Amino acid sequence: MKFNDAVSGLFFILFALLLFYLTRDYPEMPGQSYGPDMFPRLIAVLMGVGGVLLVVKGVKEWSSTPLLELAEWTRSPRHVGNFLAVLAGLVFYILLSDRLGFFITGAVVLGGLMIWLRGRAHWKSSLLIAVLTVVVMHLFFGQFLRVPLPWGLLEDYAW
Amino acid sequence: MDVILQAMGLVFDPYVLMVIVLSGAFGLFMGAIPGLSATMATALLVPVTFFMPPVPALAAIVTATAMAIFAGDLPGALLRIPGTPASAAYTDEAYAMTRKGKAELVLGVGLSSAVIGGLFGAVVLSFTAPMLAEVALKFSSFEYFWLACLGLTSAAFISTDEPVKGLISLLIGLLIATVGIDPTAGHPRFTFGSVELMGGVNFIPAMIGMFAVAEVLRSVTATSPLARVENGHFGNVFRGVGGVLKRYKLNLLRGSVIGTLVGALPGAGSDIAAWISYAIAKKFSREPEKFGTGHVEGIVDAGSSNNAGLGGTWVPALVFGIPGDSITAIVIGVLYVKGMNPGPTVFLEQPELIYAVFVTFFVANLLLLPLGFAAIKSSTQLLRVPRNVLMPIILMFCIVGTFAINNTVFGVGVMMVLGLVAYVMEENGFPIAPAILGLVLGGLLEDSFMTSMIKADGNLVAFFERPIAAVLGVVTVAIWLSPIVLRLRRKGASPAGDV
Repeated sequence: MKFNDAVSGLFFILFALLLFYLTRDYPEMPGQSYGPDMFPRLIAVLMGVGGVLLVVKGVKEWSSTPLLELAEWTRSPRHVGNFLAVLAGLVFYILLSDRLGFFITGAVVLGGLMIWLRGRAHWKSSLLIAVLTVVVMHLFFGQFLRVPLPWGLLEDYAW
Repeated sequence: MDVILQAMGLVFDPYVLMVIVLSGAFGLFMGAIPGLSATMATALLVPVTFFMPPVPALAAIVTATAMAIFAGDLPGALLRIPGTPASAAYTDEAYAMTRKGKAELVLGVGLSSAVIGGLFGAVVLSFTAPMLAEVALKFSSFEYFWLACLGLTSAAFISTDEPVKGLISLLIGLLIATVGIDPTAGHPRFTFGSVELMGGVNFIPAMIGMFAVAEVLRSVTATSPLARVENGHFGNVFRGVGGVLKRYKLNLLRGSVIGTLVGALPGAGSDIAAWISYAIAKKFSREPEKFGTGHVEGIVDAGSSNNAGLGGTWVPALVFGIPGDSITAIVIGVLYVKGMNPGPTVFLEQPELIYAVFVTFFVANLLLLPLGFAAIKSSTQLLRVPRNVLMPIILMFCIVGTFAINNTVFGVGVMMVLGLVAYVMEENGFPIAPAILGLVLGGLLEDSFMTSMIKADGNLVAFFERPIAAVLGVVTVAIWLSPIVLRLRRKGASPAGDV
């Protein structure tokens, strides 16, 4: 996903304006002209300047660089699937780990990802590795480092 | 002397030694797999070190990085793919030597020069850091403001050939650092009503996202199949190494000195040190025509330089709290978490902890010899670990590591979002390291700026009134202006405009 620099530049200019808008009603410190809004606004100004420089650069290269150049993998459904599978695994974990517990969510994410990446033919070894990894991680983080990994559905079997 | 003995007592403790050996093995593994860098090894170690006392936590990072930087040579020599960016400078050279049947020699020389360079960096670190700390004790918020500026500026300018993109990356990091309650008025900024964002964006999930999750995404979308390593059996790795080191002992010294110096510059680390050393080796060599054809000379220079650079990067990190590269940026975050606020006062208050770091540098580099030897021997197996199994496990490790910091999945969300941001940034040529530096130093920068402003009653001239602050300020402003000046001069030279 490579944009022409003019597009990135425009994005950062708009982003800088958004920052000004978001900091519009920050309180002022009594008797001073600088308060909590000063630093973010300073960042916004510099970001805007950077954006302008990028736009200038991008416009110069306009003829040779397309507006948006998609990476090679975006034309391969397989690789797009890989990309989405990683994100789906993360979202799945964020949404469900509390309810299902670390063991189930972890094994599903890990096993699912491995089966997807390695192919269905290897499902047995993928599942085995997934379950083993989750158990080892639970021993290390949950038992040894005492991280309160959620038990979820397996609450009754917690050790 | 007492302090050194105390520090040795802290390091030569069975628990700490165990941590050192385990993190050493971990570092070798991470360094040897292309795509997994020393920075990523550090990022993944941080959630584990979170639960350790300061000495083993820092020892783990020191050891893992020293090992990873060497291990990057393995795939470089065997597959022509650098395992870490620090090995990229001489990958072609090393591979050419392997093609000539000298795989043992190049890896043996790489290992030995890494150990020597690393020890040199450790010596320099141990002697200069305490001396600099005495100077730094005289610093006020004005000097710290300029130091933070200088560190961030060089990071933005050095890490990329497009300073604008480095700058924007830096600003993104600084902006993320402003999320949460502001330090002067206590007003919540950019929290959008979220209670979890009030505490700010923790740097650990951010760093894991930007360095590790982004890399996982890159790996699963890689379209070119990975080269397979041929079945090889290594003979005596150290045969002929003594002769090479004796012949190129000046290169060894030069590489170590340059590596340490470049490492100590804020913003430049082992990667750049190796490039510079390799270039210098070629320039001053008596047989420059042999470079690129499988000649060992440049490998001695660059191999010692990148490991020496590691020690160098810790000098500004410990003394001023200004990181030399992305690894020490993470280290500074860890130091804050451990209550050892980096800066000269830590040398007064907890000298034994600082000296324990120095001792670890020596232990780690000595340990590199046997562990590195074992890694060379098992490198064919190491390089065969299937990527499709490794990446999901690393992702799971990222999730659990992030969760472990605050015990909420909120951090996992932060990690995912910033992982995507980092992925898109890198696709478009924006370097990641400045963003992490900005995130870690943002708080210090704003604090010292606001304190200075309040002290000076809003008078900007005060930032140049103290002598050291003035020098630092002038240097920083000069670097800021240098691209504009260069551009104007170039325009003056060639009326046709930009070249």
